[in-house]
Amino acid sequence: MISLFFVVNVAVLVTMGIALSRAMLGPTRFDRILAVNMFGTKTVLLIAVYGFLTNRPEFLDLALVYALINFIGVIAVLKFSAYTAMTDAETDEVPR
Amino acid sequence: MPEVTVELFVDIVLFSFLVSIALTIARIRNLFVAVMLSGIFSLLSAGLFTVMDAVDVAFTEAAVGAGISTVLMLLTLDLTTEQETDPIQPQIFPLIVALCTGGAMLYATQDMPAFGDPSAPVHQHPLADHFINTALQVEMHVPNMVTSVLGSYRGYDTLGETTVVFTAAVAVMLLMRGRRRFSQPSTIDAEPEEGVS
Amino acid sequence: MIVLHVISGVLLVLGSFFSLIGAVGLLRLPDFYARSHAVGVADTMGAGLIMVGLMVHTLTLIDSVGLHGEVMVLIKLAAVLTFLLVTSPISGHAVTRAAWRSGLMPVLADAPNAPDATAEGGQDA
Repeated sequence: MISLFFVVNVAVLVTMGIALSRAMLGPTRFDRILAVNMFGTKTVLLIAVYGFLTNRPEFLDLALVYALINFIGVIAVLKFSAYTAMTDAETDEVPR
Repeated sequence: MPEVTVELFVDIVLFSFLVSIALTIARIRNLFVAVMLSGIFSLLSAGLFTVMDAVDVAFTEAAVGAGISTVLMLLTLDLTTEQETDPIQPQIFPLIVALCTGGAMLYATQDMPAFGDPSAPVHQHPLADHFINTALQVEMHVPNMVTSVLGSYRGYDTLGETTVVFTAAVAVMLLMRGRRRFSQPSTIDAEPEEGVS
Repeated sequence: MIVLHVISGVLLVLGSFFSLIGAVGLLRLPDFYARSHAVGVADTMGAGLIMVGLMVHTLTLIDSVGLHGEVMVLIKLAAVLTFLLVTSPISGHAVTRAAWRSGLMPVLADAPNAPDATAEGGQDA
């Protein structure tokens, strides 16, 4: 069972890496917000699975806090980006 | 699967993510992207704290770094422009200062005891023994020793810290009240939306 | 007991498989709106399955003597599962709506910047 948790851990880490590359690449700002949201969800999963892997299920409190913070943070970011129409929506460049 | 290699593997992967994010934040010119990436940076470092068994520090890092700090930076970004101005010339002197400081700190870490070494000076202090022996059974009856130290044995420290954080929050709110917007609200929001306060 | 272990293992593997598919979709799909499909659906499914797998695994840890705190772990896992299931689609919808409101246009098949038709045909082969 421990090796299965390790495999799931590796899969979640690979997913986090891919979300990270999309956050760095993504041409529009909404790609990056989407990638950050996915990264937060994967962090929740990583902490939960890592807690079971090392036999410390107390980490689940932290996973719950992360899930809440991630949601609130994404909604806050979207509220702010609704009020600034400074950059072009297609790319993240300021029109000169 | 020996536990040391699992923890080492997760540590290596998370730290490499951290380094790549830091490099990207240093290179990118758009400040909104930098704020988003610093949010991920805080999430990652909180994950690293969890792997190192410091769950209370990870709580604080998650709430402050990934949540509040990102929102405050976005508030600040609302006051100013999003594109960072180009530097005039390559800055050599700050680079040298940063390298010297980093090198001095790396040299100083050679003298530190190993992580978790029981013969380290911080573990030899008699107060550590007192906290460990009496915190659960005798005095506090709280299972988490860190909580009992933070909440009761060093309660004045915690009082000072919460005062500082409260003052900072009040100061930020006072500063944000009289701001002038550089941007126009987008035209799509001109008609009233349902359910938006 | 073995049945519970097998079920939990299958759920965990399925969950990580769905998460990987969602991540690959996030990387390879051509347009923002397509990527939000991949994230919103596969991410939620993968997270939900992994959480259910962890809950089934906690059931196998219950001793025959009695519960030693596994009830608390089950409740916390159920709370995280509920929260992820509810807020993950909401976040995906909010991001897509914000993108639409700010004027981001999807890449349609007959648009001038659509992917090449011959490349699409080559993919199906």
